[in-house]
Amino acid sequence: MDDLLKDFLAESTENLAQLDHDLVELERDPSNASLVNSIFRAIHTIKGTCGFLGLPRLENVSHTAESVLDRLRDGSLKADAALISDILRSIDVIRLIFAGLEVNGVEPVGDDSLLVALLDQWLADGRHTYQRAAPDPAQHPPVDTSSLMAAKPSNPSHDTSLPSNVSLRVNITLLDSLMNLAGELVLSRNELLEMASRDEDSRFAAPVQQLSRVTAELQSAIMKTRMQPVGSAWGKLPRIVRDIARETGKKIELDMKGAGTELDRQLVQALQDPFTHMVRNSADHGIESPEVRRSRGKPAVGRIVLNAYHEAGHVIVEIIDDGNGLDVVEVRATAIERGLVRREVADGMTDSEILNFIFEPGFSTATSVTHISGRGVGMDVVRSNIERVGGAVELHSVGGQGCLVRVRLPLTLAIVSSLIVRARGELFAFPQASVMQLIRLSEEQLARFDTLNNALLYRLRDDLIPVVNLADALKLAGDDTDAVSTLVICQAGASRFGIIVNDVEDTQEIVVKPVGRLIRSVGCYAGCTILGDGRVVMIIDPAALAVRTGTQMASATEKSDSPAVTAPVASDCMLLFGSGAGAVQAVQLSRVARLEEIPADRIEFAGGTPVVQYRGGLLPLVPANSSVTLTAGHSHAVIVFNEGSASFGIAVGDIRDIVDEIVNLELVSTRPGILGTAVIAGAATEVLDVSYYMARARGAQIS
Amino acid sequence: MTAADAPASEVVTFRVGTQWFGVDVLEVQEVIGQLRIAAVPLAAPGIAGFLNLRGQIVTAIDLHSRLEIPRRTAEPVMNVVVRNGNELFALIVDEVGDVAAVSADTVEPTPANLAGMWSAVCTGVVRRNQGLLAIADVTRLLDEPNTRP
Repeated sequence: MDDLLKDFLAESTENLAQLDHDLVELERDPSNASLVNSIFRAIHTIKGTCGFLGLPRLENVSHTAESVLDRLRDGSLKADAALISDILRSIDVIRLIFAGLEVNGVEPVGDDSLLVALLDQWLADGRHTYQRAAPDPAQHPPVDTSSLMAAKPSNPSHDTSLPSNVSLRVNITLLDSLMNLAGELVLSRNELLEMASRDEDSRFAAPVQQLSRVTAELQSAIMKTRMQPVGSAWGKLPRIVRDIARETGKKIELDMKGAGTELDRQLVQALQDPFTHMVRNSADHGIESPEVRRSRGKPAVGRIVLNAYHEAGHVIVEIIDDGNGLDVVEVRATAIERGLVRREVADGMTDSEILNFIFEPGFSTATSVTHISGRGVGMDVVRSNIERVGGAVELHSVGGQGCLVRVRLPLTLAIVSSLIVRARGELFAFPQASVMQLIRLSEEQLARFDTLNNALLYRLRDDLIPVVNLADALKLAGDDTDAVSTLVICQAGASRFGIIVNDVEDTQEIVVKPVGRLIRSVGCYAGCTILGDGRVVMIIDPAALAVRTGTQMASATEKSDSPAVTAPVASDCMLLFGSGAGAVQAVQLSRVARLEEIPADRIEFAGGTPVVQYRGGLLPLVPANSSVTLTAGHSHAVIVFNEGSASFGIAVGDIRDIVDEIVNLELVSTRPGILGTAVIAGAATEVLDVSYYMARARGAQIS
Repeated sequence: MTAADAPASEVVTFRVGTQWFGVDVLEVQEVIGQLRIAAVPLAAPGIAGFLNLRGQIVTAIDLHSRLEIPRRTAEPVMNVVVRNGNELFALIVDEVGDVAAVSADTVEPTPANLAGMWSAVCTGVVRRNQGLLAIADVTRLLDEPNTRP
């Protein structure tokens, strides 16, 4: 049976039940106009649709009934018991036709001329005359039941189509426990599969295969019972939008598309607050007042569109408004003001990177006064809520034209495809969704790790990404007997980082089990699972791990109070030098006055400060780091800086090179004396903060 | 109050080191032998890890560590599985005894000089022929250690 017909039947069967009830009610209360209207509409819908589906018999009966009802509506007929009975008769016939349709997919053959004549009498005379001849549906033979019975076996789709609208209310906790049981069944199945796979000609192999298939089907069926339309998280939104519109004098239209898109109910629940928040933001801060909108050449009525749809095994929900959009300039200014990013770093960022700051905790506070502030309040919570359920959120905005937030969600929380890795002999699982890339590390690549202050960095194409060794991060006991071999590149929010593991064992669909309350506080686990061999394995939450180990590409929270630092580091000649401790460091060439090689024996100490007689004055020297010992060795490479009238020198290991290159600080340092780290000439290089050394040189002079 | 109308309860007794403890029998789901424990890195001290009890994840608590009782090596362990806050926990103990009836009037208050964890965990003491039986509160046994100084 085609879907259209099936839907029509399901819907109409419901309507018919309501019709019976309404007609009986009408009989008691013949003057109730709204009842008449609702009955008329129901019959009208049936008539309209069956014309469309090509069901002439049904159309004929419903058309006649509709005509009678129309007369009831305009008051030219009165709803007395006789009339109601006749209408009920026609509904009985309609119901019989439906029964036939449901079984055979075609209208049953039958003669309705008596019924039609009966109803026509009402239309013509306002009463019916030949009561005796009225067809009693009980005897009326529109459907031969014996043919119905005979038709059943020939139609295999019968079982599914007959109870077309049968549904049952089930307690949520029962569904949850079914889901858990199915999860446990999957685990037992995995155990059995593994046992069977060890012995190829086991006589259990075939039944285990069968069990495996049934288990998978059972699980997916149970999963489906937990699916809920995403629209159920949207229920409150029209009211919220209406209230905001009234309070602010705006005109806003809320359009919800794809509300029927289904998601696991746990996800739907988790998303209720973020959606409410984002729609409230759009209505409150995004959509402009009608006057402003008109002056911008937009329609006075603002639009907020919610759009949900499936895409590649995920559900996408978009929240689009045609309002003000976000002002990149203001977001940038606020981010800098809040200390989320240094100005020189912000200058090198793209607009979309800048906009992502609104998801940062602390981007906006309740006391902030800028008009974009409202956008940021709680957007960090929105993002963390969405990421907690394995989703991702991104934001696009065109200033003055609107804003689009796209949320990408997994279909279910209970099962994730994951990567099983080994670190120092222990197994861990990574959710595949957060894994971007796997890099097998050769000896040569291992050498490409750059170290900065004991922090590992990896050069991935042109980016420097922080790297953490999983075994170290988790403080695993034991020795690294296995060779470090694989780098797992993960993405969490806007940041990317690498996690070193010894080996990647497998990819598996795993059943996520929540960790107990005593473990939850550890924070870096998304749950745990049981592998085929019965082993319990922790599922790593890469984002939380990154936060815990501080590898996130976070901007330094330390605010620079030195005005000299505000000079942007970009497209400049850089002087590269060895720090003396093995690392390569850089400083902007434009700030360098001269390079000098100063013999160690010319270095004197004035009040404990190393100085050198230089061009008729004393030049204070500052070692670049503690590994530069001024008293040792024959001579020292010194970079001389002029700041105003004062000069000072930084003693370094050795001068390496001068490169002309666009320099972007990849990592902002929190260490004093270092602005951050950049890729210069293909190597991770620390960029020196000259003003820090200048302050030290000055301090030395004063004391 | 006479012994007859004093509310009585039953406790499952178990031994950690040389000390016998009792926990309310209604909180105990089952007693099982040694199972493989998967360590959970970074977990608080006293949490031995997770074990797989017929497909259910159970958080295993090392009572030696939690109660600061020195462990004798090479002793077989038992797990007392308790349900608490709709979660399963396994208390790793040295030996499981019997189920003892304890009437409220035989329970004496916890001595004031009990140190640290013990005073937090014990709700009372019962004198028995074999020695003192410390009545332990399961919830505190599970959750207190993090706040221990």
